[in-house]
Amino acid sequence: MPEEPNFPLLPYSRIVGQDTLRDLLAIDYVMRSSVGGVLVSGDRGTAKSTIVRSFARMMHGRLPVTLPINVTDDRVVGGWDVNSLMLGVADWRDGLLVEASKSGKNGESGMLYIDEVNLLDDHIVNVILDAVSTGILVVQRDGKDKVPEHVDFSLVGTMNPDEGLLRPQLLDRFGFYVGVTAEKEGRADVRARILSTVLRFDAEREWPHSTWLAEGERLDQERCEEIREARRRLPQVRLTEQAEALCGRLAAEFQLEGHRGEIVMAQGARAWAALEGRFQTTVRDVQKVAPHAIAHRRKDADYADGIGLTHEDEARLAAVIASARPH
Amino acid sequence: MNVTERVSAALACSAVDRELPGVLLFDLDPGLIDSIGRWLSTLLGNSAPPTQLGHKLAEDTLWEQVEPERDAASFRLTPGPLTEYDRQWQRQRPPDVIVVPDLSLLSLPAARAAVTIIGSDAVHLERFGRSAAWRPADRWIAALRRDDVGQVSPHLLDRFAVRIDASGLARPVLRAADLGTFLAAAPPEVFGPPDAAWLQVIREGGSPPEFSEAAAGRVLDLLSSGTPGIRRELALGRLARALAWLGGAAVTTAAHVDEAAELTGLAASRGPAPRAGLPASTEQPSGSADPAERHDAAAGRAGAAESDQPEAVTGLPARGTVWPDSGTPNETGPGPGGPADSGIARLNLDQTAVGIPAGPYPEDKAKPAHEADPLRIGWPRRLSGPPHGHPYGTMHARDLRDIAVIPTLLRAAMFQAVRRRSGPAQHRAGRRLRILGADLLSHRRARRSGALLVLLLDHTCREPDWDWYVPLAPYLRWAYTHRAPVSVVEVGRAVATSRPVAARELRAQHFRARGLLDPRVARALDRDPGRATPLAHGLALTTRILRHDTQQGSVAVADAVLVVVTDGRGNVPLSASVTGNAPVHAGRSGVADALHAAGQIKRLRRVRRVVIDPGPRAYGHLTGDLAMALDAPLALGRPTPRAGPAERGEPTPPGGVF
Repeated sequence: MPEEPNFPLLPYSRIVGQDTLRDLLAIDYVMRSSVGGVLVSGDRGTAKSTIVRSFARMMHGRLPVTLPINVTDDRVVGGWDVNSLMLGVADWRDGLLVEASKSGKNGESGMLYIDEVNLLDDHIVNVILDAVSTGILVVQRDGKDKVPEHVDFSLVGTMNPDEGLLRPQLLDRFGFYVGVTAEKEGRADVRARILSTVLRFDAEREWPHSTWLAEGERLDQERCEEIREARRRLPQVRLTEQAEALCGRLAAEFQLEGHRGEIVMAQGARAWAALEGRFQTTVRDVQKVAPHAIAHRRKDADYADGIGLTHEDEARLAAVIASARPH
Repeated sequence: MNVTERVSAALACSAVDRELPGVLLFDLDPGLIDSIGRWLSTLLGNSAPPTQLGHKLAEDTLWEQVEPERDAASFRLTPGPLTEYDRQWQRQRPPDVIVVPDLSLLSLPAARAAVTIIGSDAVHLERFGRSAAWRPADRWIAALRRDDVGQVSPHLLDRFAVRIDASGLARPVLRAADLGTFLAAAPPEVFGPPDAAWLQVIREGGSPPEFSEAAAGRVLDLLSSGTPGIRRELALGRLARALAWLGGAAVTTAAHVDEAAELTGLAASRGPAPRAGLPASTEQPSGSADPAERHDAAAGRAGAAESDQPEAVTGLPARGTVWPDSGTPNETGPGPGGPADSGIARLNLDQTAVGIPAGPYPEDKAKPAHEADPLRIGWPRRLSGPPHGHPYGTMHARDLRDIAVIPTLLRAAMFQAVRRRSGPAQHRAGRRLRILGADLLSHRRARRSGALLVLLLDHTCREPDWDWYVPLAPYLRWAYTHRAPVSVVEVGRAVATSRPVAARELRAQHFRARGLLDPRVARALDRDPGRATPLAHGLALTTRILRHDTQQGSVAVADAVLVVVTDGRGNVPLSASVTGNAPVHAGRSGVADALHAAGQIKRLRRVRRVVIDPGPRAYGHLTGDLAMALDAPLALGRPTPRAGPAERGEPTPPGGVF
């Protein structure tokens, strides 16, 4: 493939609003966990894709490895390079799962981004689930028997719930769920800032030496380093017994199937503490991530209108968290 | 501003600003779209004809195609019409124009592709060993009748930032003297040559004008209705900025925003707006055919406006069209030769009569008539056309459809040494693979069930002592033996809430299961009843599901069975379900809406229907009314002493009931 074309993206630091989504992307990066990943669901035009792409460029220096809905299975798991074959040469080309696994900076695992994840063909979903659930990619196809390969990446998906939801198995593979709602972005001052920022970006990106964009990139560098520092700090962050017990109680209260929910909560709480520069988790850290680890693992979350916490759920969540606070 | 000016200005805005790639023309005569596309191509500096997308396009055709080489001894992969990557690598190749004559008939693969392309920062292609990413620049023009808006996915509609009412647009009427020319050649183009000043601005490109704070404020004033996202505000702002750009202004002002609002009909749909500096089409020297003269006139006005009021528009000259000797057509007062006289296109619908708002976002109030999850691939069974189902092997190809490229190449590779030794002289040189017809392999694809069971379960009709598994058993068994996917529509399920009435209670819910053994089906059958009965919404949802699965192009289900279990006592009007606002007084409208929705299902082909009656109760006739509206037999859900086998709800194959 020729070099990546120039994709002018709004610098991450210039993006206005959507703080929850941005926090969760940072938490997911810091966690660096096999149970991580973020599913973003929201109305049209809420900058879901822009934020994910800008975050990936800030952290990995490139666009995320993207799995589009037009993908065929040979590009997911790997296959022979067609153009080479036409010339009589057999070249194996890794698929997107392996590419994502190697796409981070300095040999780190990267991100696999699925735009419109709920429009993906079931057959492709099965292929992804096979690899994601085990972390091992086994390829035996077209006469090729490939040595099983370890794949490790952060799975990030965006979707518009108007077009249907995800199968429960795939839902569970995302560590966190974040619903981007119109109400949260509905404030006039926020809308005004978004409008002026995006329109300014349209104009600035046509300037080869835009100081506005250069300043945005400098801020991105700073933010990137902060997040990386949090990742380096993570091993030293201790999960307190209080926070650990709270994660378990929340999982029991919401009858989460399996244990992935509480594991994500615990790891996410540690990551948030690391991002805030602390070495010990608190109840607030669990409170920060719990709704996003629970929402898509609730019973009935796979039904239409089912993802997201109801008012009653929020009240239950608050009650369990309040009971865990020191009196 | 007349329709010609509106449409031509909108296209010029799209041409000058690549952030406005989608133009939706309401009520455009589809026969004009090619001509309009050619005009936009000319603006973009592209001599290639527009690419037309219709209702029969498969995914493979859109992204890449397999073509035989000239010597017919080999094949090559060529990019499809939506793959810009190769075109962008050709130096300075201007963007293409893609036209959709009827957006409501666009094929599912093309609609899915459009959603991922139009307005996106980056498009990714990952198919059959090919990997590419590009920043899209092609422009899209789509036509759509306003009364078909409900048939299109809102997600797809949202991709079209520029919305223009094009009703009444027509080709110019020729003078009698030109009739011979007309008969001898193609029909005249809708628009004359683009204005030179516009062309210059578009070709120069560069950076758009600055966007003033006053303009931003005006945008938010006009669109303060709490719409989801910010895309509409951005569209209006960008359109205003493009108008300023085309007019040569350095700054986009509030007046430009008003002008853009008028262009799209937003101003009209929201009532009168300030008209500072708006160019009134009636001020145009309509008889002038000289673009330079008209440009000068417009520039003169612009100059006057600049000197008088800083916020005035600095010039959108009405210069989209040069009408040879016929004057500028005006929809409000057509002169001789205007479009209204032409008789070619008379699609100016009476919008009041059809009840569709005339603004740029009719989907906000149009009743959804599209399929459930309209952009998702359904449960398909091939009736005709290209095969579907995921490939699990290969077989010898019978035609050139659905070629398995890699296996074909691998098979051909085995014989290369022999072919190079014994083939014709021209095949012996070079390294290119020589592929013969005998090498061609096509995909062997998994079969998919052509059956579908749709269950509409009204939980509120289920008394504690009634086991509805008994009357449902034959249908569940049929679904199992046919390995049919199951769509479940739930009406009146319990919702844990302490609020008076939650919005979720006012709506039916649905999910699709791959088969009967999906645990969600059993959970749905055992659900507790709630308080509201949005039966009308449930039936409307069912209509969309059935329409999607039985009519979606070449992947339709051949045999769908709809089982409705209800007492017919819907107490939530459809409007309440759509808006989520509990009605103060529902009256009979919930039942009436349900009967109306049932009438829609009755018209669907390949759908067998049955209504199961929950047993004696007040208003027992409602179930019969619903069965009549569905044109479905009524099966008794509880056994009665003198009932026949079907009416007793005994296990009977669906075929025996219908």
